[in-house]
Amino acid sequence: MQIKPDTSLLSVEERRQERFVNKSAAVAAKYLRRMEDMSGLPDSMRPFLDVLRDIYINFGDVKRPEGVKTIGTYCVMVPQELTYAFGAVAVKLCSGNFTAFAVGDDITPRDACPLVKAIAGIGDIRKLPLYDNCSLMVVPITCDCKKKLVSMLAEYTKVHILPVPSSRQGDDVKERFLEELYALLPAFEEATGNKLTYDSLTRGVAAVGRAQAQFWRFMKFRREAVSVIRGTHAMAVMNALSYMPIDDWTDALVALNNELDERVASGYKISQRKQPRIMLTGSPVIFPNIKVPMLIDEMGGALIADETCMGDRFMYDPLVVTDPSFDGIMRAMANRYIRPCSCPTFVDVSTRIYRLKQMVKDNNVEGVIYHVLRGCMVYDFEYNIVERELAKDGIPVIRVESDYNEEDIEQLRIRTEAFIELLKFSRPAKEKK
Amino acid sequence: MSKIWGKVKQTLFGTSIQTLVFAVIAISLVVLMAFFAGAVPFHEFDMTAHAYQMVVEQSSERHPDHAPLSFTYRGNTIVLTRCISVNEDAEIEVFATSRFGTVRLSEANMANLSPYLLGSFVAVYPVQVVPIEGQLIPRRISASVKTDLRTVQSNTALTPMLSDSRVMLEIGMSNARRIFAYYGGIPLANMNIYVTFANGRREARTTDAYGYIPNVSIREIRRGVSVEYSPNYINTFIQTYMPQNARIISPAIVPLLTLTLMTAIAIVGCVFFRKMYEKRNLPASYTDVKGKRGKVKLRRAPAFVIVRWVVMIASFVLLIWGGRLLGVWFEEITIPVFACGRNNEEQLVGSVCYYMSSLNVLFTLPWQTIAMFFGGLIVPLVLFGRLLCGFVCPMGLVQDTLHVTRQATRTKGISLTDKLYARLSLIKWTFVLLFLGMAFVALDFCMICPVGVFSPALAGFKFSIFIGGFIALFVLVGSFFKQRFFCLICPLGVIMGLFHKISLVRLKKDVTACTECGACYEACPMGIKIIYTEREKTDVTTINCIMCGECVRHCPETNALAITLCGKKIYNADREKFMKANAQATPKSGKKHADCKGGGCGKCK
Repeated sequence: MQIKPDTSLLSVEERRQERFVNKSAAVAAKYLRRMEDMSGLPDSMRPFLDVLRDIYINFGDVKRPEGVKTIGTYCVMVPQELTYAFGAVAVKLCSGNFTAFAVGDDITPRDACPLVKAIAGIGDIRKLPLYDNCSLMVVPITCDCKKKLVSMLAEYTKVHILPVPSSRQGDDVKERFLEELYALLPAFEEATGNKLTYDSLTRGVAAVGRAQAQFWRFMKFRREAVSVIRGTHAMAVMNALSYMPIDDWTDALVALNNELDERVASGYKISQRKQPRIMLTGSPVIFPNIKVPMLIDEMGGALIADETCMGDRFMYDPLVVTDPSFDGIMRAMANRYIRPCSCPTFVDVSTRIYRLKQMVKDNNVEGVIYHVLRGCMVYDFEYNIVERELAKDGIPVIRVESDYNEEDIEQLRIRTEAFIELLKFSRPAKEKK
Repeated sequence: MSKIWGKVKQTLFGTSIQTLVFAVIAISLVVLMAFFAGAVPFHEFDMTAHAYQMVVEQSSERHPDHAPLSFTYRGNTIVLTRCISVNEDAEIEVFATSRFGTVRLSEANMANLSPYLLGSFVAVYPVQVVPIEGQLIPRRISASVKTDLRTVQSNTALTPMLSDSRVMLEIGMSNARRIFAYYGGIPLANMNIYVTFANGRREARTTDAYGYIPNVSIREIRRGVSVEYSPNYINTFIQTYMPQNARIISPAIVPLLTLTLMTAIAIVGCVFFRKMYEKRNLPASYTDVKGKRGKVKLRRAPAFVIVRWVVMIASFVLLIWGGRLLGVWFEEITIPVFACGRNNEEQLVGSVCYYMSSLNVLFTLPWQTIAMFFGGLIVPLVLFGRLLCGFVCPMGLVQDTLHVTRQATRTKGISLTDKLYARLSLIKWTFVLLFLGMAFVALDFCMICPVGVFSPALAGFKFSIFIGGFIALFVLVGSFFKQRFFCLICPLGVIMGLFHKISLVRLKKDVTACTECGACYEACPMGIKIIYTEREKTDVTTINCIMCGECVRHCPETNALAITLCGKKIYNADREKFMKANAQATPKSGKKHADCKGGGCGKCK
């Protein structure tokens, strides 16, 4: 006969962990359900939602063959190609966990950003296998919060830091970053137990290249005048990439793309009305903090593109190998992960401004929502110049500041709704012009 | 500096056996170089002295009336063949005519022709008296044979003339192109003559007012022609004329082969020593990578790239052998201007490279010629600009071939940074100064030109290599590790680049579409940085751009870069094609297991 453990006998720590598990699963389940309940969910979205469910509700780990290691990464500067070349799976650990944020709030400074607070909280609770099973975590030093995060992570796992230059002027910056990438190799070798060969590197490059090609196809569906997929669902697809081996993700995306192809052919529309086309930029949107895209969808906007590091930015720029020697591929990586990156950690804002302008042009964007996580300094700094520059093209920008909790959701709803109404009403005036 | 010295010290005075090997090889290399430097010419042809000799041979064939004698060439031996004739004791007189005057050759002279004697040779057969049936007075036939050495043909507008009373009828060649006849020292104007070709065809011709014989092609001249002129019923004068012909495979190839061998050794050596150096000084992650069979997918070679290679190969053939081939098959073709002036001076009278590097010669020409020269230079430059560098230059093909070889062997290259490019431009401007100025101090840029090593040699022309050989070695090894290395320092390229502001071929950029990914800069063989940093001007054509299209090929943003001709896009960047190549990317080799769909699943070890 099995004796049920008496919860009252659990230690304080264990009870805290259990509270955390229950609460964060409940939040994730809620948002997942809301996402599933939205109209226009493609059937091929299943694998992506299943992954999110596995990770956030069932507290599982990345589904992968026996013996394959995972390497945790933050930000967008860690070359995925290298991870796959070492036969490991790259996991993106930037977190959107509400409950972990509340835990981390106590152990981090008040003004730290919620993303880092959530990671700190997860480290404190130690209940997520996704984090605990990582053989190595690579932290690019992009902002102050990430910098200070390193010592916290180092308490329970192996951490490798990847210094990111702040300026991109001059070629020696790239040369230095190349050295950092070379320094990454022994760390990966130690963590995975595998040796890097030229062939495995090209396999890694091919795998990521294939994924990027499919992602480009996916992006084009979102660009088209009649949207066939909701922005929230698209964000979920991008979020799922963080927790899937890239080949599985690509295969699932191929199926999704094929379904979207059918939708286009059959003239399927998500909404019969002509929804205002909105682009999201700024701080990352990470499940379950998917409030903002969800509000846009619910308030009748069409989220057709995003310029965030959990979204398009991560997969957009391809690796351009101009010299197929081993060193050439490494160089191409150093180039691809530094030069075109529109992350605000770099001193020059122009790359990001031009990227935004081009995306506005390509996607016929009518309005831009600038998402700022409270405490995310670098994005907040760039808001003004982005607003000013986009105003020159007549594109309104609204700044939406938020946190990892649900308290401000009604406030956000009002602002989003007002913005979407503004876009709708300013249409006739624009068309006259 | 001290850092570099530290590394050198560490490499030189380490303790391992490799250091010893390195030291021995380095010292022997220095000795070898000192040996070459001792006799500065990298390879000097013995063009003149002791090279030629003349032999007189008897042929068993009976000669027809008009050709008792003939000249042939056997390497550096000039063979004078006399056919068996009735008058076997007839004494043949041989004259050598050079810039320095006319000399009658004796047997001693013939055995070892002094350089002062080289030029034209004329052999005169004694007057034959041939009785003709039904006529009282017999005919008097004066036969002679003349030949010109190549060196004479190419260096002078008119071949030397003997102007001797014993040779009344004399044939000469002007501009290595047309033949003319002199009679008694003055042009044979408006007279009826007979021309007999090598195949026995005999035709009547009339000379023009300057003595030129019309409708005789270079091809026919090279095989030998006989001209027959009878001023009256009694006398007939015949001269057979044949210039020395060049062989396709000539000793000229020797220095090229030496250079090729040395380049190969140098490249292998560089790779070997670099590996050694890296093993010692860099972390293992830089060097410890095995396997080379994997492939990286790129955008499939677009039509532009294919056209570029086809044009490059075609122009290589045309510019190197064209002078000879077209000269043999057609008569009046002057091939343009961008070939090496040393290739074949018969046809390439207007080589830009030659005249630009010897301005003192250019300005002594008549003004019409100067005007035509500049006209012929400026028109293609306005039309194409430095597209000619990327498409036409034979040196470009050589360099690109080396580059492709390196890529195929997955050898690590040298990637330059903006600072190094700036340093190279210093060498470039020095070269420009030398290029334009050397002629004025009685030197010749061809002495240090690396192209001169292989272009004339391949074409079969002897051309002594001076310091150019060293520079060529440096350049060839350089362009193995760095694509189009010589273009970075090419002085002619700079002069051509001056027209980049007005040329019709342009490189355009859509400044918003650009993501500043720098792929173009990585791909650019010329290291043009503004191509990706430029955010205002839409025209990014610069003095250095050779229109090779590498940037456009590697640009992943649709229309961000494009090459335009007269404002019309002929080649533009295409993300779609880029992604298509990515989508098909499946690794072709390496261990794979059953359910692998292109790698990345993590199971492959």
